[in-house]
Amino acid sequence: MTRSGQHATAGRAASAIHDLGYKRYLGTRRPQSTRWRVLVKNVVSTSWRGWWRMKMWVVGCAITTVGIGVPMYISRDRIFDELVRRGVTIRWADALLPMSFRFFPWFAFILAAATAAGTVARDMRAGAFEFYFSRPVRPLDYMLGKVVGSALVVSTAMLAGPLLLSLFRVGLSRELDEILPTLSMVPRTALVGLLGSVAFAVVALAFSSLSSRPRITTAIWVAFYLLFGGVAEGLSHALRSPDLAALSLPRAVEGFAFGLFQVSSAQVPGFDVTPGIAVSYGSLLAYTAVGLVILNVRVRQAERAGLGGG
Amino acid sequence: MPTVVAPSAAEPPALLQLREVRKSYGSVQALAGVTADVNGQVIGLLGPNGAGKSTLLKCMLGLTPHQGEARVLGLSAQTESFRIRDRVGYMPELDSYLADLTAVELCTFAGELSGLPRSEAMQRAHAALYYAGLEEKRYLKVEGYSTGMKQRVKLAQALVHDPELLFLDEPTNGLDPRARDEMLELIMDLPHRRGCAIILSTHLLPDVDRICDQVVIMHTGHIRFSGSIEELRRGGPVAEAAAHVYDVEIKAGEDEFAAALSRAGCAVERKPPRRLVVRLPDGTDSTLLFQQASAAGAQIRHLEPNQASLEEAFMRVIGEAHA
Repeated sequence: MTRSGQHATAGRAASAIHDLGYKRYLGTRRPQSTRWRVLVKNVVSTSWRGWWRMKMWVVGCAITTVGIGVPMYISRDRIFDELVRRGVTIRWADALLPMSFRFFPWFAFILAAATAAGTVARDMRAGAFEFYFSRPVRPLDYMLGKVVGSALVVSTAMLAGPLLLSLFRVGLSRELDEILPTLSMVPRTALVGLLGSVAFAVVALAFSSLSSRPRITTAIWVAFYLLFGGVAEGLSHALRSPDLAALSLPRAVEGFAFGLFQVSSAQVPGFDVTPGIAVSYGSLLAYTAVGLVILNVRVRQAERAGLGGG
Repeated sequence: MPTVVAPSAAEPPALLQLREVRKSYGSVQALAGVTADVNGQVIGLLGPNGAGKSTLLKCMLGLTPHQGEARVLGLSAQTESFRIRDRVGYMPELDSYLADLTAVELCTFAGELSGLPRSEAMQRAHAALYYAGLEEKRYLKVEGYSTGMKQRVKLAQALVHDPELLFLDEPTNGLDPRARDEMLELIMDLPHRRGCAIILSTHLLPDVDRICDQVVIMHTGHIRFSGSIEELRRGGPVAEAAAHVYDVEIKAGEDEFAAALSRAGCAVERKPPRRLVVRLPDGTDSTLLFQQASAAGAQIRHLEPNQASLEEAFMRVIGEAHA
């Protein structure tokens, strides 16, 4: 018997070691390239815990969806004077869908603040990078898992509500001729929701990687969204330059939606600083790209910091 | 000196095969051409701060680019690091958990990240936590755990994916004596029960003395010693001197026996009531003890070479490195 074996026998005699029975694992292992999905599942399941983090805002989104759906149904044939498509006024049923992108980003913002904006900081504080990178997890897997997971969480506000409304709008069609054009609203809504969700998630995650203190990173996200966005909108008003408002993340989402739905908002009070589609799209892509770069740099730094202390 | 053994074709590869492994951080050379084959069940990795232990761990897990070749379980750390990490468990020194997760969730997540199907990961998470002694606390969030419980959950998460080799970094750090004892018992039990080898990185020589069968000593980026603890104790001038020193316990007549030994040229140190530490003169061996005992009418009950302590041996190796 080896030295350690002798000790082991003595050890077991000294105090009980509980073993439920051990068997060598002989099954197959999940391919390395799919491990990021485990992280996605973890992000979503962790976010779903407790009322304040996700559930409450999802309920808020559901109420908002119903709140927009009801006037969409009741006033479906009334003309919405303030919104025009190629110079022609449109009906409430068609106008409320792009306009809903003014409301849903609020919930997306709160969801991002409650989940994504502190995620990487919490991992830093808890030493989770050692946990991840001592396993077959690449920085890319980590990033992919966090971005897709957080985007899924944010999409319950940014994508799910508008998508339901777009399907509802299709359902309100009375004739085949009306169904076909309204059907095109569904992929457009999905595209806006998807890009908006990814941009919100990535920017919030990038901020969360700047410090190991979740409160600080969440505060940075809130300040960026409210203060920086507010200043951009204010300047846009003052300089009568709607495109400047694309620096504000929610205005960029709204501008992209209005552009895709080909509606113009010049006469709607408060909607007069909606930026154009190109600049909005560019803004969302640029925010996403910059966010990914920051996240990548910080995660790779954490990986290089590696294991051990001495 | 590192023990380098060329493996034969029939033998399985050594746990660790290191060939001229070099790693520098700027002008600081963390690993200066490390070469060794390391085998064993419980291997102590010793060295002062800055010796290169953590860098060696990083290289072996493929976490940092390096020169030379490091192979773990026969797999290349440079090209097969993910396969290594599937087969190796790592228990970090510092806190390493995920906020908001209970111990069961953390270990299940760890198992899934290591490629196990969810049901298998969950089953093994319960078993690992049960084994680590957290059966009643496994549904509590890890961030609320005491230091001892955190150490246990770190061990469980390192075990959950059924590794063949475990890297344990200071596993008894911050534990009270009883918890430390229990942790060491668990570690000693692992090779026997789960068939996994262990590399224990620690500063605590008593822990190594108690549970390790092999030891690797690092200093200034080099492996200064690799071999069994007995070899470590036997080697070098301290041990050579110690080879002429014996602990003797006699039944009676210690005064006569001590006097006879002194007359024969031995240096005798009395350790009442009936023990003596005897240094033999050069050119003699333990036969002299029996001859003098017979002459003095004393009966030897116990005789063993007076071994250098692990600390002495460790200091000798480090001292040789300085010289």
